[in-house]
Amino acid sequence: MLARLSSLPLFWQVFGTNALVLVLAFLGLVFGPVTVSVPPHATELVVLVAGLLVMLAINLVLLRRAFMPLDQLADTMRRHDPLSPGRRVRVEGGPVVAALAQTFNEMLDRLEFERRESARRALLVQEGERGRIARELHDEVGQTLTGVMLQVEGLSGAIPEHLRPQLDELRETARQGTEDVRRIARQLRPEALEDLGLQSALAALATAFGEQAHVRVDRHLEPPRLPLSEEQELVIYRVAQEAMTNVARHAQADTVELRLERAADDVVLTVRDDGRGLPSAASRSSHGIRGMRERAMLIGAGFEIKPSPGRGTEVKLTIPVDAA
Amino acid sequence: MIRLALLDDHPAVLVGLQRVVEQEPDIAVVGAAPTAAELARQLGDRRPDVLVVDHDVARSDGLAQCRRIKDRPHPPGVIIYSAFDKRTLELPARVAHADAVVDKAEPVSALLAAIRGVARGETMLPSVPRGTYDAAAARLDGEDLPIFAMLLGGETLPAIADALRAETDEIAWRAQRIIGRLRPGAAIRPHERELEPAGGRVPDLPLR
Repeated sequence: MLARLSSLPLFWQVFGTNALVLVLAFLGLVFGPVTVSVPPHATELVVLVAGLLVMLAINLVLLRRAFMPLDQLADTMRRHDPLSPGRRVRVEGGPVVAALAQTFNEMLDRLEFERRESARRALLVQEGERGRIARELHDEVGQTLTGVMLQVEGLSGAIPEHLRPQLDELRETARQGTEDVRRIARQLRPEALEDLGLQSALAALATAFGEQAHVRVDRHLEPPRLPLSEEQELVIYRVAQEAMTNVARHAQADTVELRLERAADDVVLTVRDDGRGLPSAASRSSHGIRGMRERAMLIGAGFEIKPSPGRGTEVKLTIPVDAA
Repeated sequence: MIRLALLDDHPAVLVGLQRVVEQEPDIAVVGAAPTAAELARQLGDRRPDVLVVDHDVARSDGLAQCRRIKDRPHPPGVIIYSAFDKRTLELPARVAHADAVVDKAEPVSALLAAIRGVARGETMLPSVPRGTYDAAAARLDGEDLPIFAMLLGGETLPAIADALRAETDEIAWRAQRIIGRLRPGAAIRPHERELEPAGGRVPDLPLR
């Protein structure tokens, strides 16, 4: 009977529980060997109080059972983590609780969809802006500096010998300027990604990073079995870029491992360093890490950042690739 | 005396190139302009020995210019002068029959050496590694592949048109399309299809 009770709507469960208790009390009074004199005797009072306690206990137990699924649902809802999308509450319990769980899950679906869309839009805008700035830097400023370099060179015949060293310095400064502009433009817009593909772009990233941060980079870059979409490639590149930037800034590492490989139906990007390891939990939700998580969410990829075995940190991006 | 023409739409670079060349006793600038039309006007009847043409995807398509110039009779030697990474330019430059590619970040001596080399009749393009060739071929339509191969072999447009029994105009148009697909910043991205050469692994574009 108790099993059938828990498949009723919540309202009827509560009502039924109370009704049961009241009916038992009624029956006890009517048919039980209980008489209540006016004023009641001590023994009568004891029996009545005992009876009352029993009724209350039954009520308590049955109600607790009825409300338990609701409490569990509330608890699960509270523990839900918005940054780990895809998890849903279990749909079980009586019809009311099940309906509530279902509605909650649907709401999560809508929220996650909306979140993904707005993140996608924001990232597109960001990439667009970066592309524009990179192009202008490259085409305008970079060229102007090249022009300066050439004009300085053009002076070298006309100026006296003792000024040559200064002229050389000037030319070198301008040349350094053109290199800086290129480097910055490349960071903003990885032209290698468009022209040469993901593997080459990652290889170039690894090389540039190794030179700038004076760190050894071990790379293992496999070609994916199926072509990745532009969006997926861009996310992989940006996550690798951000992860390595973090290593350069915080980790004080000697070696960094960059791996792009297939694992079953997934493509996995791993960036592992042997440095200081992750800082406190508070800075784990830093801008850069949030950014990586958002981008991962955009393509439905799994993202993890954790201490790597031994020392240092490991960043792992797992991209599910639908078999065509 | 090497007769040099300069085509670059960035004023600072155009002036700078002229200043640099002014100092060289064996090179004379016979025309310097930001557009092809302006340059043609300046040159009049004169034919330069070497042309340095700027290539910047967004503003001036030096590769396309080079292709057009090389299709004319008695074309000058052409040097592609670009702020872009040389590695992504070398193959389309070959298709355009350029004689050299010089990076704007390189020291000026590199450009001068290229000018002198090209004036002597040398072609200063490195040979194309197999991997680059394969990856580029993957970006092209099947019907363009024979034209691509012949252009890389140095065949002129009329010769190719003859061999394929097509109109020269059509071959010219196809050649421009091939360059369009192969140059840096092209809209179509390479999808690294699995081409399994005898070695076994998929060839990646080598970054030297």
